[in-house]
Amino acid sequence: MGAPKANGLLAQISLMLGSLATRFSLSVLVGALALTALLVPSALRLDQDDDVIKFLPREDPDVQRFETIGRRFHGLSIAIIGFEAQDGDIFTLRRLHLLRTLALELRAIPGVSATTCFTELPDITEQVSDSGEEMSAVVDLVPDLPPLDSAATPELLQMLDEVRRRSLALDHIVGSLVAADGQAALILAQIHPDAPIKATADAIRAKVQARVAAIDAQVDLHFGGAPFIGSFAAEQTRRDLAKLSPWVCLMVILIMALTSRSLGAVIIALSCVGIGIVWVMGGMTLLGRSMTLVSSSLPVLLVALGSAYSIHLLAAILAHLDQGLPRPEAVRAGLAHAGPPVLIASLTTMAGFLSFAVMDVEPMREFGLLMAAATGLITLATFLVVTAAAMRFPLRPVKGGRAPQWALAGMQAGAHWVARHPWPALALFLSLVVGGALFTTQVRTHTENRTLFAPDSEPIRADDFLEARFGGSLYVQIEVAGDLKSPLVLRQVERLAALAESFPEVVTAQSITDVITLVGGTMIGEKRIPPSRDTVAALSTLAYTDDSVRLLVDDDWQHTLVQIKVSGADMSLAASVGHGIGKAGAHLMEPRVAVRRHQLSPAARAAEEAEISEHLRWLLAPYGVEIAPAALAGLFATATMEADREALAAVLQLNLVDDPIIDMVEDFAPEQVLDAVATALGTDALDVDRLSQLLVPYVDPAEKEHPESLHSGMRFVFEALREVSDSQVRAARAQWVLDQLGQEPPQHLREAIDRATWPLSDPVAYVPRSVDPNLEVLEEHPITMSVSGYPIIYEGMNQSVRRNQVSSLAVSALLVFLALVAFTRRPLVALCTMLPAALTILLTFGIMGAIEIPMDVGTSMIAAIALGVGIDYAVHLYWNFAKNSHAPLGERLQVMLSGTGWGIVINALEVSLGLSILYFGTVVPMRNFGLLTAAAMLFSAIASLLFLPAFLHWISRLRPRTGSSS
Amino acid sequence: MKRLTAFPVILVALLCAHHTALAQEIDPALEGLLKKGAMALLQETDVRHNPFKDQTITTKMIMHGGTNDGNEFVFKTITKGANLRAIRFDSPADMRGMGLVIKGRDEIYARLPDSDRVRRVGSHAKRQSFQGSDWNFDDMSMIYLAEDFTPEITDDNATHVVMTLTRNSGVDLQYPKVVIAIDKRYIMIDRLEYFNESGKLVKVQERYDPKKMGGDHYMYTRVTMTDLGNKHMTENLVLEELVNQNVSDDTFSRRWLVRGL
Repeated sequence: MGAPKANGLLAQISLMLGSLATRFSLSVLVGALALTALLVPSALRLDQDDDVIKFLPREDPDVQRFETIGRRFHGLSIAIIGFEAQDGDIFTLRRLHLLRTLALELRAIPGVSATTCFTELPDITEQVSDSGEEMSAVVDLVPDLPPLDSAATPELLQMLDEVRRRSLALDHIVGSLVAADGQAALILAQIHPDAPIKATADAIRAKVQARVAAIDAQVDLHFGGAPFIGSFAAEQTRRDLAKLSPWVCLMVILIMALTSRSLGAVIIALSCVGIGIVWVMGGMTLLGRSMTLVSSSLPVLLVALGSAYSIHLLAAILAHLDQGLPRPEAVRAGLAHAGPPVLIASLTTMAGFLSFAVMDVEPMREFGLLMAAATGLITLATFLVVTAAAMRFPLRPVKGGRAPQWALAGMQAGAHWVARHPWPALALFLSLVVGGALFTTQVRTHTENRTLFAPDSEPIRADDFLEARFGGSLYVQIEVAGDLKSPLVLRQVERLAALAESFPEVVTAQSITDVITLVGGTMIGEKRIPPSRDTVAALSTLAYTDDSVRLLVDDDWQHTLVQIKVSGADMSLAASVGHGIGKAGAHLMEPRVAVRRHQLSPAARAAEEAEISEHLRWLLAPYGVEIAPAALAGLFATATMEADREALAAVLQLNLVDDPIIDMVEDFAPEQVLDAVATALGTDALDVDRLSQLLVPYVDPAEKEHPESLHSGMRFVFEALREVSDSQVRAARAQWVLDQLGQEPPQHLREAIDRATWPLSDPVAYVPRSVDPNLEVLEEHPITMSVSGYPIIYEGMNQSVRRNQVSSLAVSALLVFLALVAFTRRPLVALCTMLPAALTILLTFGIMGAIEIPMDVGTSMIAAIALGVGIDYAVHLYWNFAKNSHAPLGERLQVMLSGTGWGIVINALEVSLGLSILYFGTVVPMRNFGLLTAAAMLFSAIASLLFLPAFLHWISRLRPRTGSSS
Repeated sequence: MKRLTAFPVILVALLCAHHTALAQEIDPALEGLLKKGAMALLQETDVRHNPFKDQTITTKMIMHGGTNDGNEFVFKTITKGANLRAIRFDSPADMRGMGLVIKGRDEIYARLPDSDRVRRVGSHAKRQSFQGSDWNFDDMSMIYLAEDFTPEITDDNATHVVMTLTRNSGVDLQYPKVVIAIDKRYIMIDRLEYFNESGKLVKVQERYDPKKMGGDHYMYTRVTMTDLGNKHMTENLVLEELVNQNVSDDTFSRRWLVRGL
């Protein structure tokens, strides 16, 4: 096995670059330094891009859907600010002032599209006026507050008590904006999709902290939600790198100094890396690129990885100096000795990073390209700067060499034992492979944000706070598309929300129907979706004046979001709940039609009743009550009841006497028509015409001059009378259902059941198209839905991580293999040279599986790095092994290991110890990356030193010895 | 010589003409009102702004800024006296036909399009706005300022008399202090500054383009209300005005909402 022709080419390139540097050493040094000085200002001006959203795979349909939905709803990035009262009461004057002030001030921050806080909401209650009329009373939930320094008068305390009482009585606020125990509150800030998320989140945080300090509200702050988590991750990553990078450099310097025993060599090697880093960063600025979260690790990675080339070249030069060669000869000999493997090692490293081009995350592709370019530049700098510096700077020879004899002896002994004991060695190798592979299958992608941060970090504390006080902060969104001003569509949205809440993992499901219902209750007196599209349309315009409604429906009222809060922090579970709801609710999206009730066929009527039954079962499921569909048949049997005569009399009195809709003759009294009205109503025989017949004898003659208007009035009175009967029927139905509960139901459940059965008394019914093709259809609307939200795209991100891992490893392996084949001219040898790296990858992933380190964007890079960088050791070993093809094994090992073994040891130590310092970071992915990369480099070095000489020796014995072809 | 004496004559004539012109712009009644005091002046502005028994105006309300930027509403408002008001919306299309009858804070009746219900609503919500605008119920009900505020003249310049109004005790309005600027030409208020309980300026109303529309009185045909905290502005344009149409009290009833007469 001799060094092939290609290596002659590599040697020529090395020598050519080297001779340029040796002949013009001063010019090369001055030129390199001048270029570096020119690029320093650009390097220092390099922009940071902290957008974490860019790390989502853009081609993933879930990610695209998420972005489309975000745009449609003015941003799905919700920054959650939690306020926890230190003394346990959020309803103090100071804290209410704080919340109110911030709710307004945060809205003024560029990038914030809306804020939601309970202090700005109305409180709507149903009351009875002095004249006995039912009315909606609208008040500010939190009224205008007296100044901060107001004395604690009884009136003030009473006002605060009232605010507390009213707030904690509102179902749509408790658990969403105010904690049930009144000790905490939230402000939600919606960030516009085009706004820079980190900058906006940082501005929100700064404003909140400043205001809390100014008001001295004595609250503990919590910053949750994706914008703050992303901002924290970005900030901490940069801080960690800034804090730890000097230590990494120091470690590298220390190890290089101790092992090379030459301060000059250390300075030259690090200067070379520094020059390379400045060239790369300066070049990035000139090309208009920015530093992302991943590429911000470039400098520290280059210090650890890029110094290898300088070390190997310097080690070779120093070795020849130590042998007594004059400096120029030592430099040339060092170039000839180490140049070709440094070049090929650089190529394999570049191949490893270039494999990132197949990843579906743009910042990762860019990072791979950057690192490949940086590797190339550092290699060029190595040949020019290191060579020129070695010519110029004092490098003292050390008699006897620099590698400790015990280390050389140890490496030789180990490699010799493996070579001489093939079967035990192979058994050991295969055991490690199998063990690594076994644990590799245990590697999982991470499913919780909690695994990204230290337990006492801000995101975890916020998570704990939101889980304890508000049931969590994980949201899945289901987007429904259709005409959202049509009652037909809105009823399906309402049913979908009820279905969602029937899942045990779901805390709440909020939809636009909650808002419509609330506004309808205020403006019509009916807390339900009105049966008329025109009425719904008016309610929608009234509702849309509130910014928080924009989180639920788009500007055109063609898309709505059902916001589903899932308990816990497990993204995978939340995603599966989302998909489960989507699957279970798919039938709700079948084409539906509106039909006049009296034209319903038996099949259509049965379908309507089946849907209502299903709706009721969903409403009762969270209470552990299951009702068989057949048991609900009795519910539908109640269609009419004898109406309460007193109530009927009151309707007639109000509308015909007290505040007349129709002017009656002077001596009219409701008793004159009450019996006839009650009888007709009770037998379902009362309609507008029949009522007109009953009332006309008593109508003021002047009314008859306006027959159409009079008819409107009659219809109004008729509807009021019918409502008396209908409300009794509804109440009976609702009570029947609630009796199944066996406990006093909360008000919102009572109202929800009422809403579910109310449509049975509407003149128009909504049924699936498929139940009867012969129905006389009044209107028809298509409805579609899709599931989205951070848990869903998290899934996509995890799939992307797995995909990227596999694809980049495959491409890296192929490129490295091709480079090695070109280098060795022997595919078998090339494959054999990759075996230690393959073992390294399996062992590294095995560690991940064994100690449950999840795969993420950072660790997905490790395999390609381990292969591309770790292969360097094998390349250097092979080069030195192949040069001595005719010598006996012992001699070959001695030459091989003394020539490059110590260089490998230096490099492995400084890379692994240097990168292991990242383990002291606060962001878990960085810690994992540092730890695993360090382990990979160590494994690679050990595997290469231990097994590769033996593999190469065994292969060489398979082929007849030939003359050297170098 | 003639030239020398002519110049000062011309100059004096010009100055006199200018002075005369200024004196003609200011309403002659102002001097007497100023002598009577701030309250008299404030009461006169109330009269000048409401010189009718009933008024029917069609208004276009346009939002500026925020998430409802560009939204428009057109509605007809019938007003009689201090307390009776009936509103019917013409646009947007979704609101067409919606009616409100306002007899007081606790007596608001609402009817939505195609609904057979009239709902009574009581609104004591001072912080909730009308249709997402910068007007709330208090803003809209401050018609006769002299009834609710005590005035004090704080500035009297060439064009305006500026008064600070202090809310009277027991008055249920949101603003303890309002600063108004009275245009001397019309003895009408063309600027109001609203201050909250903490003394902070929170809203500014400005009135422009006084014209005679429905009667022999001036009215501002463009009014803006700006919320300084939200950085949001509502612009009201008067499209049409009719006054003294002998509007019946029956207009302000549920019957009107249901039947239109």
